[in-house]
Amino acid sequence: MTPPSDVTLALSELSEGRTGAASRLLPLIYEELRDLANYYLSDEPCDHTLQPTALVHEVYLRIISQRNGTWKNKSQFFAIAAQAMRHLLIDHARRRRTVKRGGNRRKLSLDAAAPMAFRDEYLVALDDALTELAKFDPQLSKVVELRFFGGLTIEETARVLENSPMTVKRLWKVAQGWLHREIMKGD
Amino acid sequence: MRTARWHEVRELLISTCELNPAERDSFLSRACAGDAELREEVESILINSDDVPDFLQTPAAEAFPDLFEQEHPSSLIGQHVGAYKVIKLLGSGGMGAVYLAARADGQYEKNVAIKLIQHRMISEEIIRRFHNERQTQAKLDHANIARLLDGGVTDTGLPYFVMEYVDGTPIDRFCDEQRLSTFQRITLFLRVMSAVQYAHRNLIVHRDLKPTNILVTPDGEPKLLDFGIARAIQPGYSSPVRESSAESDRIMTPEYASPEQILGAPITTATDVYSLGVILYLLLTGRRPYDLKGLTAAEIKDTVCGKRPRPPSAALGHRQAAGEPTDDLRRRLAGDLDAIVMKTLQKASGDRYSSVEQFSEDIRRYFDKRPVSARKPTFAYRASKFIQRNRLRIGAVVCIVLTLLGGFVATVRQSRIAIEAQQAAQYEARKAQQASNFLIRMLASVDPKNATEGEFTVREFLDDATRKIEAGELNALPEVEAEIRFALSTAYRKLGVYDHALKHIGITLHIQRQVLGERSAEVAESLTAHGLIMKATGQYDESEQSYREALELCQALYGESSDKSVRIMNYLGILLKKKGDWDEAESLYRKALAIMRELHGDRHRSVAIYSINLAALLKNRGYYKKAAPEYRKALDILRGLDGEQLQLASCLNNWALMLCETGDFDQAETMLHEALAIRRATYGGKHPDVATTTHNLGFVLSRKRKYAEAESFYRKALSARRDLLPENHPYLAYTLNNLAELFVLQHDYEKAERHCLEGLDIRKKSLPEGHPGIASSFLVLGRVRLGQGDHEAAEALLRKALAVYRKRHRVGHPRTATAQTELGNCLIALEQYEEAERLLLDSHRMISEMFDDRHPALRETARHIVRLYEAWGYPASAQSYRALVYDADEP
Repeated sequence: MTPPSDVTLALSELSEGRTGAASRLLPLIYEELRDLANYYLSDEPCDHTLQPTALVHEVYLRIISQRNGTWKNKSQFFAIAAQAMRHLLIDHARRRRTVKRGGNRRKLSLDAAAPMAFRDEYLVALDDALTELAKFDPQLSKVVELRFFGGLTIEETARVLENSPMTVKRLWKVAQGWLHREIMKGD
Repeated sequence: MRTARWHEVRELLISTCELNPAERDSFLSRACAGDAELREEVESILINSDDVPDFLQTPAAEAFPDLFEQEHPSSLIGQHVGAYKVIKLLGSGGMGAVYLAARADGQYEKNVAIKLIQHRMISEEIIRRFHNERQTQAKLDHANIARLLDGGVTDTGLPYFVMEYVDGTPIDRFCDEQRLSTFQRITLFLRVMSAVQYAHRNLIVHRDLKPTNILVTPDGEPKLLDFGIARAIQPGYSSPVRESSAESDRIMTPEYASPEQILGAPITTATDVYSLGVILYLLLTGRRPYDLKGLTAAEIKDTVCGKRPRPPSAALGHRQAAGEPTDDLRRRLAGDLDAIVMKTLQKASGDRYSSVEQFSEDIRRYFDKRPVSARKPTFAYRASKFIQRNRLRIGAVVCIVLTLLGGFVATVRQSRIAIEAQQAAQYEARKAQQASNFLIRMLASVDPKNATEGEFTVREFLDDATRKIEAGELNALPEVEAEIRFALSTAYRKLGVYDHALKHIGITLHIQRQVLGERSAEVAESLTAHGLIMKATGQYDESEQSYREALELCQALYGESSDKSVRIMNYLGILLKKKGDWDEAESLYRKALAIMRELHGDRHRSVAIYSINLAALLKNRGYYKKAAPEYRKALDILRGLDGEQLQLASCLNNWALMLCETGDFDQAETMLHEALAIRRATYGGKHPDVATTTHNLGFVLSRKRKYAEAESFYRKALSARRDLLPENHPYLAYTLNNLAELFVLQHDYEKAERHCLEGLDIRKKSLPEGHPGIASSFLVLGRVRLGQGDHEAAEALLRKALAVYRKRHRVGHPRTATAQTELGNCLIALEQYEEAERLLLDSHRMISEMFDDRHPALRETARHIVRLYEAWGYPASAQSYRALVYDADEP
């Protein structure tokens, strides 16, 4: 487990608005998430099922509890946790990806019933597209990160981005459209 | 082009993404006039977003939980590892994966298990050590230990062990599936112990004993797996200094790890004794001594190294909750088995059994009804054992004599601690005696002739008791006075007499703090009671503070998952909801409900109550579809229980309120009448809860346009609330504001204004800024001003209300929609048609998404839309909405 002191330090830096704090915090939260995921899937049979959306919240609570609840900026935290979640998932997908690249991307699917390899490929494609999107519209890319990777609702996303839910709902729709077109485009 | 023109494209996308195709077409025709490329870009994205509405809707982690799984080198299947060919994956865990394999050279037919270690810290050192260990392990030859056959390092440098393949079930599951009795469980466990004992004699400590490492074959033979493997791959093995720093790399399973393992202290055979104790605890009770689920490393350390677990006989609550009979089991565990298990779970390894041998010997003594070494060898204990062993022979009379004698001798011999215990018992007895004396005097003094109309009411009884205490007639220990005052306070609070309730609880707290200490369980109870009174009198901040103090105290005293903590969490949740702090409230409710289910099972009354609270919260946030099943569950549980009438009434009342929001007024009215009847029968006419139900009936009737009846209910509720509640209580404002709205509906703006302003004044004094309650006053006042013809004032008020709702509620909340409709309506009068159109159409869409098309708010909005188009000069557009106004069930 990550020594709490590092997380605590990074969190307090972040709350003070220190530059670079977020990027220091990211790998720490990433570690936490990974440990937690591994804990859930360890060979000890336990009665809780894996609810990964709860992971972000749980990690949040775990980190917060180490700070005696003085950490207030929940929104900022969710933003970073969503980023960590994205890295976690994409890293797994990239590493596991065994199918040959190229081919017909239209076959790739995010459907849970689809073979893992296709989904990995899909996630990687999504990540690439998001990175591309961030280059010219970071806000849109952020919305997707928070919603899809962070599991936040429109309302929560709106709070993080300090925008009205209505605006976020529209941004989300636009981002969906752009990403879908991008991913479905033949190479 | 994309980057350069993106800004333009984005603007168009945002304005058109929620329009219907026709609107979109006309919009884009205007906006992209002459720029076909721009239009094509925009449309190609819009088509994509329309085509797949579900795209990315499910959060990634939820959609693919398997993405979190560790990577298995699945390529290993079919490959050769040493002399074995890998057949399939059996399982995987933190340490690595286990495969089923067979001898590749066909020498033996026998299958083996190969454990491949995938550890972050593979190093030369570990591999070298692994070779040494393997030689030691190979010596183990015991029928109940899975044999280590071989081992080595794969081509990719990962160490592996080849073990005897055991086709079995983890011991805990085996015991449950076979429904073994306590006796059978212990007998099976003794065989496990003999295997561990054997290994210890060969100087091998297991270090990671847990049910999944103890498999039982179908013919009932236990087999221990992984002996010594933890040690072989233990990092920092050769340098003790490193070991204490590399906490996360130590091989152990926290649930079964001893304090010395958690702390990184040296490991001895007593470590295995501890883990065996945890397993025995689990086999006997169905629970482990500690619930470490979701704890941080630091919390795990505190728990395992600092907390004393409950003895097994006191850990059967979950079974009782599941409806199992537990009395027999509890009696069987209490005494010897408790003592034996607790001795294995001592924090300091020196306080445990010094060997597994001693541990198993004590269990055998228990079976033979001989005194066990884990218990203090008092005369009384030994005598009772003697009696148990010889019950039949010595006969009943001798038994009784010996028991008495045993008790007597033991008293004489007892140590100081025991004397203190006895004093404590005497003290408790004295307290109980004093309290009951007082009650007896109280009851004796009740003279029906003194009481009004012959019947002595609870209220009179309480007032009489108060007078006697104040007059110093109690004449008892201060603790007893505190207990009695606490009871009086509770009774007064339940009767709605808050000033008396508050006075008693204040004195109670004062006495308890002085006599029992700041951090006692009694103080936590009284703080909770204080919070309840403060909440009932509308002093929310004071209430919150008391609850939080009480909760903190309870969690410190009883741990996270106790009934007491849950109760306070629930109160706090209700309060936070009242204060509008919904996120924290919802998370508290869900936590409380989960703990309740865990502690008491699914059909317990508290599960019903917590479901009601959760439902009410979901309702407040506009999540009706999620709330209804929670109400149904609660009602179902409550109707199946006796003596839950009041709770039933509360559930009916709350569900009815939700039905009002969804427009099902008939069903709501029926439910409210049932609730009112129950409450009146229980409380009589004057009670805050009766007032609440009366108020709610007023609301339903106003929605059914039975204005005269509605007004009479509202007035009854208002006068009861004025009598029962303190000044400036937010509930008064509810009734005032609703009355005001009733007058608006009847176009009596003068009366409406008066009531509305009084309500608003109370709300401004009692609620924080930006509270939806204040917005709701603004909303009604806005309608009053509109009715009075002051359009500008109306607009300002309605905008303020809308802003609050938009901020507080999720998009698509009915209050937001109502405020939008009202504002739209007002803007028609101000001739701001474009904004009015946007608001009204949006509202109409919101409402039709939330409710079915019979909902009155839908018709109301359609009516405004028709008026708008008529005023604006688009009669054709008006026509298409006119149908919606009249065709539902309008006569």
